[in-house]
Amino acid sequence: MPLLDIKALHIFFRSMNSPIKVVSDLNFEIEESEVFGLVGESGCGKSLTALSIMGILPKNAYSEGVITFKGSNLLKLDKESMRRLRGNELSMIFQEPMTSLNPVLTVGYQVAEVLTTHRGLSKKEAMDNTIELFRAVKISSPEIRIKEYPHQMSGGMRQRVMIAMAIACKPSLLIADEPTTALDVTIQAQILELIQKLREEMKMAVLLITHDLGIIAENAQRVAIMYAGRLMELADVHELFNNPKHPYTIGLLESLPKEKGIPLKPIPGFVPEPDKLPPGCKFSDRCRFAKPECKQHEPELRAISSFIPRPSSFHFVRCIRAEEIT
Amino acid sequence: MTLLKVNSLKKYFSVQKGFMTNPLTLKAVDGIDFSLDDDKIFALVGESGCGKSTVARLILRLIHPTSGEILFRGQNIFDLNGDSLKAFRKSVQIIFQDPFASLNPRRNIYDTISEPLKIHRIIEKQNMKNKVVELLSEVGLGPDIMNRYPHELSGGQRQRICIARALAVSPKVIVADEPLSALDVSIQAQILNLLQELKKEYKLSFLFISHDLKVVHYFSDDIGVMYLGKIVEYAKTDDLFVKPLHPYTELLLSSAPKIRLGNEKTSLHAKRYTLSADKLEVPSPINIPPGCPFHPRCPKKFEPCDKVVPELKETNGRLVTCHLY
Repeated sequence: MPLLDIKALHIFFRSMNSPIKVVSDLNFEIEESEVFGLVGESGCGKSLTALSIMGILPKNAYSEGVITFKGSNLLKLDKESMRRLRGNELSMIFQEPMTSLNPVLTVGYQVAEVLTTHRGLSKKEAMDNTIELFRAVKISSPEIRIKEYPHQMSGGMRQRVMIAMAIACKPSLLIADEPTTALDVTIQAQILELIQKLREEMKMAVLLITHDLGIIAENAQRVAIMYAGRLMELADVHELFNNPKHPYTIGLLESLPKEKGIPLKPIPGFVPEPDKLPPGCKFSDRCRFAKPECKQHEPELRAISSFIPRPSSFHFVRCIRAEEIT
Repeated sequence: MTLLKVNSLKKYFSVQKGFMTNPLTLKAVDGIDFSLDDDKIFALVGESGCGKSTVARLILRLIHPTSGEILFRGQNIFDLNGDSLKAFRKSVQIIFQDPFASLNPRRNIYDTISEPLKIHRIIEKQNMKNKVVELLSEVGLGPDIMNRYPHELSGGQRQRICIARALAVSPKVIVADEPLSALDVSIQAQILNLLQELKKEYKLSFLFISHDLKVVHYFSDDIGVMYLGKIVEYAKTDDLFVKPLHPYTELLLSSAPKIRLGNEKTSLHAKRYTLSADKLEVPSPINIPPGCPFHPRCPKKFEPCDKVVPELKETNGRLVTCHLY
């Protein structure tokens, strides 16, 4: 049984007229201790998916569907049981480590709070544990650092504190929403390496959300590509990069600079607003492979036959011409 | 021909920490030299806080240096005034990182693009509209966008407007300060292609500031790698990516995530040297370490590194500040 199973998830924003659908019919599973990558451009709904798993969608949004985590449907849980899961079994790190820490409390207190809340430790025990956690995330001289405030730390250090807080209760699933976008490359490499190391040690699954395909290639085992609130392609990471089938995925890969002098092939146009999506396939207005029928019916996400060594991983694509495209 | 030459440029800021204490000195740019030739792209790369944006602001003469000079066609830009300054401003333009913050939200696109044309009296009033339409089509936008406001446009469209505004005065040099980092991947490629086309058409020179090594590799001719206010390595782009000389350049290159195709095992622990816990952070530019500024993080440091500041040396036609060479 997968650790997390998302079935027919829809996310809506309330608006003056009818609700606006921003995520539509999302289906995927995350196995225990795997790194699952979710890729997409801004506004494609990847962060909303994460917030919906955590049960912290903004007030003007709501979700429908089933999110099964360890046998229980997260969307049907009452507030109290959800609160007990969050920070304990399920935890999340965010893109901006400055805004996700409380500026008026010491970082040590903020990490220890997780332990006193969920593990019922005393303040003293929690602080001792926090020092250990800081050591685990490679913060130097943790005894001194726990007494510091977020503004005294650099971005990389703050993200380490966030990770310490997220792993304090040894969660089964860590959601990392653009964990390194605000950081420099050298620090980014260290943070990703740290997440990988902790994942191996603690047998924790990671939902890695990013727009950087390079990060995905190096860190994820399976990848889902999202566009305009839909899953467009889902495959094993090697399969996806060696044998991309959806025109959007191909477009993303061709947008990356490779050899000097070879002109880039960008995807024309721009991402449509969620209330102004084209009929039929949502990518059809930017797709160079589009045929008239693409603009009429939205294709289903379907498994395609391919040369995959392991039968457990299939290749799913939402495109009617996937077989013809290479 | 050398268009822009930067000679031992320094910019120090003073930072007041408390009311009664003496101000501290922040060395944002600490003695750098480079030159930008006609029709070339010089890239400055480095992590945040290394001083690359300060260099951009100095070159535009938005701020004055503590010492050193910037020669534009042989003339020090800090000696210019009146008409000659205005002419200089016309020749050097900037594109900023955040196209959301660099457009006035109360002005429509026509006003935004026509303003530089009015200030520099480039065109008569009756031809203004045609010129704006021409500039818009140059950056791949239709004339109907003229009456719209920035909030109605996407990030990519806004960055195109910023490029059109920079092009309006037919500059020689464009300083592009992280022009792609606020944009999505598919849009980045569009803007990068556009910049390349414009460079060919107008024979522009670029000072391209970025932290994205893939883009820099693809786009630039020469590279300066900055670390804590100094250029630690200076090389032709292709040489630098084939064989980085400075350990910091090596660290930067190995840190960037790569997509490897084929059945090669992609692993994070591939050839990447890791830093131990106390070497992780970039030191503050207020408190630059003695000797080589990179030595606390450097895996290859040896005897003189923590005492003697390395000079810029030439090895095999490459310039590097490191005691190893």
